[in-house]
Amino acid sequence: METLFTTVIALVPRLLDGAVTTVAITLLTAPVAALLALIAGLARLSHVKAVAAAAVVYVELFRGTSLLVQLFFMFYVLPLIGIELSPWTTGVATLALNFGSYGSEIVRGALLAVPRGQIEAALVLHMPPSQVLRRVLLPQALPAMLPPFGNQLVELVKATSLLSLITISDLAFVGNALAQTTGRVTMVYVLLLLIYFAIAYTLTLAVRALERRYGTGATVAGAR
Amino acid sequence: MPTAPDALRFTPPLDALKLTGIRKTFGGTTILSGFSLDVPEGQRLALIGGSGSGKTTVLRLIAGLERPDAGEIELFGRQLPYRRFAGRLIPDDPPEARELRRPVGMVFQHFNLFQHLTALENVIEAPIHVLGQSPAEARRAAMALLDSVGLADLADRYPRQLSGGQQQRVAIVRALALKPRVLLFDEVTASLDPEKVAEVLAVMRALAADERVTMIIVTHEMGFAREVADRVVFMQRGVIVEDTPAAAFFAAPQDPRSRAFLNLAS
Repeated sequence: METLFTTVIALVPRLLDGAVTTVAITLLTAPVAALLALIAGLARLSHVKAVAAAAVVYVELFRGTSLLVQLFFMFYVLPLIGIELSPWTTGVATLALNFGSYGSEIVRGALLAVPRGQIEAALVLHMPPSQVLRRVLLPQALPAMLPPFGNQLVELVKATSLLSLITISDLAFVGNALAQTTGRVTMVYVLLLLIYFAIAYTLTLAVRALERRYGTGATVAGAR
Repeated sequence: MPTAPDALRFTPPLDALKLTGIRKTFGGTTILSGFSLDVPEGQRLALIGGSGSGKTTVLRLIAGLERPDAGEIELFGRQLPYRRFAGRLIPDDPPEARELRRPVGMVFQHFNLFQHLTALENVIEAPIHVLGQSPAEARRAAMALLDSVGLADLADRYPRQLSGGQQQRVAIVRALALKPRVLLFDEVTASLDPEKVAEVLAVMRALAADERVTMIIVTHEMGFAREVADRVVFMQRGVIVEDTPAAAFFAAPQDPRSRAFLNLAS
């Protein structure tokens, strides 16, 4: 006789396959998104008007439209104009562009939060601008970015489920398939929720650990 | 040819600094219009005047934190490279401009220490990363400087763990670590508690005793200006109203506006 236990045993390995894909997409996308965020955030603060304007266009375009529609556009429309990308490339690129646009505002805010006087102090010490950025601004701005970036990372885990709609066998894709083929709808979706939560919460804890080590709170607490 | 020491002091051969015809406006407000000033090497110049007189702007122009709308800035006989672009002056060749400004150091009203670095790290940052000194060498020099201002014990503290007076002394040491030939002081005691002012002035007094450094001091501390400065330039609304040896200025200011200012300030 089939018990609850044996059902779970039967479903979990296949769901875990999907979970591995979800985690892989997240871990591939996050650094690309962070890099885009850094570049766009810095570009917004550039004195060169064209650079700042290009960043504004990018950020507003990707922040102001639906992620799902962006995915479909990249997946269905780009091939029509001769750009053929694999589903994985399409998925990771779209997610990274979308999350990079949100992240750029985090970067911009954190950079602006460093008191201007310190930039002037660095300049009168004859540091070139690149050094001011690397040695004065970023060491103080990066810790301030950690909590909001952690938030974005959890958002990203959940957003990866949209990639199931462009044929990627991630956790949501596998779950949907299992629900249909086994008929165990409740069980499958409960397990799906639990696994998403486990992934997201693990990442949250990881970011908290980073915050304790490098975050603003760490330096304030460590000061006394 | 016998010359009085005083005369020598006021006409040395080399100008540390020469500003000619500087114009500067901020959003339609003219701060300086045709401002000129020569500062001989080694001079202690007190730049005084009410708020909005343009004295801080003069320092910031020299330090390169502002660029002039028109005019020329010369350091030790070499003109800073600006070129005209779309009706404005922009720095031509920033690395060269940085190089020419190397002899200039500046200390701010609000200290502006790097908050993520200790006192010692604040001081050695530029010697290591701008001058290319070895960390050991920079550390040794920095500790000697910190010791000379009574802060050797606090070298490993972060700025927020220091009092305002201590932070300002660290900031002065940070500027000194690059061995400046011109030091700009922008109201460095203005945001300190009264009892901390003396400790910062003591450091500056000791500095002024060193004949080599040219000092331009923007201050409201008239007693200190009188004691340390060789020359006083009194500004109002971007214009030099009076420019005299310090002793003469404080004994008998010539312009009624200087007299009014001195009466208010003392």
